[in-house]
Amino acid sequence: MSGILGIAVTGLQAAQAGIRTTEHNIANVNTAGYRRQEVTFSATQPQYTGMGYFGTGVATDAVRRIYNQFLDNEVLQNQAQLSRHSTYATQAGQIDKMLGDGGSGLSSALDAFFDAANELANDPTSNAARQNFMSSGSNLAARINSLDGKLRNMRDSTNADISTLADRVNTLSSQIASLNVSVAQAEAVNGRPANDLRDQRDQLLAELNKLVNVTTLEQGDGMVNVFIGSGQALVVGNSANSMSTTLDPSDTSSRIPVLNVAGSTVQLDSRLVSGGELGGILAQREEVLIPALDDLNRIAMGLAGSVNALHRAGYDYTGTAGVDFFSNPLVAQGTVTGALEMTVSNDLLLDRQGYQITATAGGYDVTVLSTGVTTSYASVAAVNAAGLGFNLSVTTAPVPGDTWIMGDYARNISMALTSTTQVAAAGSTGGPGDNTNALALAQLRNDDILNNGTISFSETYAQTISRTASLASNADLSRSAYTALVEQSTADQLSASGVNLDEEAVNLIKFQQAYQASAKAIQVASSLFDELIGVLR
Amino acid sequence: MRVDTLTYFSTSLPGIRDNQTAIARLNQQIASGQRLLAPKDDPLDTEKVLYLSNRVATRSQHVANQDRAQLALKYEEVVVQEMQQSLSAARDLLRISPYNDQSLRNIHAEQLKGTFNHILGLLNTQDPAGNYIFGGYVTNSAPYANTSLSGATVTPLDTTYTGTTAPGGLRQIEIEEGRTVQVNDNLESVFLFTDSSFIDPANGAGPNQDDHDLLENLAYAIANLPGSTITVDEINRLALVIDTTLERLALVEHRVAGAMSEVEDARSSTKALLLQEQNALSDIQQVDQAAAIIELQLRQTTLEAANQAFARTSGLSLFNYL
Repeated sequence: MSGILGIAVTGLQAAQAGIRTTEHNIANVNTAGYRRQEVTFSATQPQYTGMGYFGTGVATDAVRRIYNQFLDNEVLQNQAQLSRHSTYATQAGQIDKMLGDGGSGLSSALDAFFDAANELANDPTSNAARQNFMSSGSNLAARINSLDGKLRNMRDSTNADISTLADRVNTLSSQIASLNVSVAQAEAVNGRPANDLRDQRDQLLAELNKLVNVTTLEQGDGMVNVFIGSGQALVVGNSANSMSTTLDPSDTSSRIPVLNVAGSTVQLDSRLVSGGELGGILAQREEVLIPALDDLNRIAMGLAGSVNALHRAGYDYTGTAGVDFFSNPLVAQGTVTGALEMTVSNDLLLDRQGYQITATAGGYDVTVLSTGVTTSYASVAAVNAAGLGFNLSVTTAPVPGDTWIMGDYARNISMALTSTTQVAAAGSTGGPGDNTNALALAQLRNDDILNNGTISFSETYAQTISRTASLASNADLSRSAYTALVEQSTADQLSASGVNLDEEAVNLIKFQQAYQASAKAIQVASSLFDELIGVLR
Repeated sequence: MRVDTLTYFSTSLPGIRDNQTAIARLNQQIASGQRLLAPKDDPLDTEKVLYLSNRVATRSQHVANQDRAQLALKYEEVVVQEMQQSLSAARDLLRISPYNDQSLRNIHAEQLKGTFNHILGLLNTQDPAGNYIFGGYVTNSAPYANTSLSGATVTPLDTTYTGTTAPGGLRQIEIEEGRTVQVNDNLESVFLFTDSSFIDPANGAGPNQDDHDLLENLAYAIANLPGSTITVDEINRLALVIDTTLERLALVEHRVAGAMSEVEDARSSTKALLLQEQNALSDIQQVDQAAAIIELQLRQTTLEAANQAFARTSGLSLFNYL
């Protein structure tokens, strides 16, 4: 008799468990990373009688979350690539627009400069033509300065972004490590899956994976180990290795992320970090930003080298020998006695950070700034023969100790002339009507000076633009592709794990009715008891 | 397939988002008239645009240079023709002088003063910007001087030339890539020339008897025509100096005419190429307005459909019926 009540009670409990889980699902319909849960039931151990086995009710076995590991991984991988390409596309797009813009780009300024040289050749005695040549020269220099400044600002903000990302990675990895502990503890106590803690941890992993692509490995105790790069451990069980940044030894103006593992550090470059925002930033900087800065510097150096050499070979309005048109790329350090000039021999060999040149008793010491290596040369001719990418010439003999630095020229290039009289349009002292030097300056427009003497200034800049444009355009295409892939794989994942309110409504009704039925069974059992007690009364 | 509530609600989103992006872009294209809003929109076309823009800029400058060259040459041509007319008239005077009486020769001498001053003035011609055009690179001071007529009496004196001496001092203007044209002439060898076939009256026989100076001979004629000592032979040799000068001037005129036709040729080919490149450039750069507006209409319709679809489906829920 008591079995009748007992069975109904298990039914009530099962229906309550069902309703509770359904409500939990409904409540979390908008929770990021939440996976729908369901209760599993089974019939309890039957009771044997002479007539056979009688059922004893229902047992609530477990509450489990519905998920598909394969679909989850699919989403993670696509998301890491989407973050990478999206970050890359945004930043490369900015540079692309900046370089190609008529207002801020270099193309129009280069054209205007050489047009002005032509006008000067057409009318070498005209003060207006001389003024125009000088202004277009200083405008060109200012354009280079401002483009260089904008690119440098982007490089600085890239450094700041990398530091911020490292901080966010650290926050997430330590949260994952502490959830590892919670999951392991919760599951060790009763052997049941800690559904909601696991959901939270998965969500943190997904967030982390947007910053840097990770691989995970679940341990027997429920903890996950998280790896980045080629297997560098970010989270091991209950502890997280911290990420920080350091200056790139080969380019001290760039910060790179490092992982601190067991007292030593691992530098993470774009080959190790291939996905996530961090991967996008590192790749973009390496492929778009730094090459654009380098190109700008090459253009500035080549321009100053060629224009200055020609301008010095000419004569100004008064028949005086010409001086530098653009500021000398060799910047004297302190007071120097001598004077040196440079031309570019092969721009592709120029060091990214520049050179320091010091006159010595026996010749010149040249330090390559990016490597710090100093080499001694017996003479200027020996420096020029060394294949450093530039040629020096001595205008005034230096004394030992005279030092110059040549680098960062795109930032420093400026107009060196102060009056229109100084414009050296003439190729001789024959008179102010001589335009031969102006003609030669105008013809620099199409001279193949850069890229080791194979292309002109404007072609070099055009190459910078087209290279940036194709990289930005590829990143755009990849972003669209991965956006679609992420949407598709997320839909697949949610199709398995997401909450459907209509479904839950049905479940609610289902468990409500089961509850009502069990309650009815209790009522029936109760009235049976009443009947029996009434008979005995 | 099982669809969860979140996906059910967000399926319309990509459609709405993509259409909005496309509409924003089309608006920008239509407003600016530009098909390429950034180089990355079409890297290959960008490369063509950069190449063509550079060509257009260079060619536009060449057209400006050609205009400039033509102006200078035209100016010189006019001056040279004026010199020719003036000298022809002087030569005609001298040819008839021997057969006229003294009073007419006096008048001729006065007329030749006009020729002298006119030629000297033309040799020191300045262009509209004030540059002397026959002094080579010396553009800021009068290159020719002759003071024969400056004194109380006319004394034949040497002409002094202070400009650049040939072959230097000839200004070139670039009319096409790598092709320049000479836009001025040095008239030193026209008005101060060497010819061993005759001896002129002003210079006479002597160590420099091969050198002839037109202005000095004109001064000689002005000084001696009024007198009775001048011989017919001398007058004929004076005319010979003018004839030789005219022959040499004709060569200059031919050179100028040749240079002008060279500039003209270059100009027609440059303009044709410029037009072609400008057309090619605008074909790449400019947006096809009609096509863009039709696409805009289409996108608007699609966006409205996506919005409506969301509005209609988002209200559906089983809970509404419970």
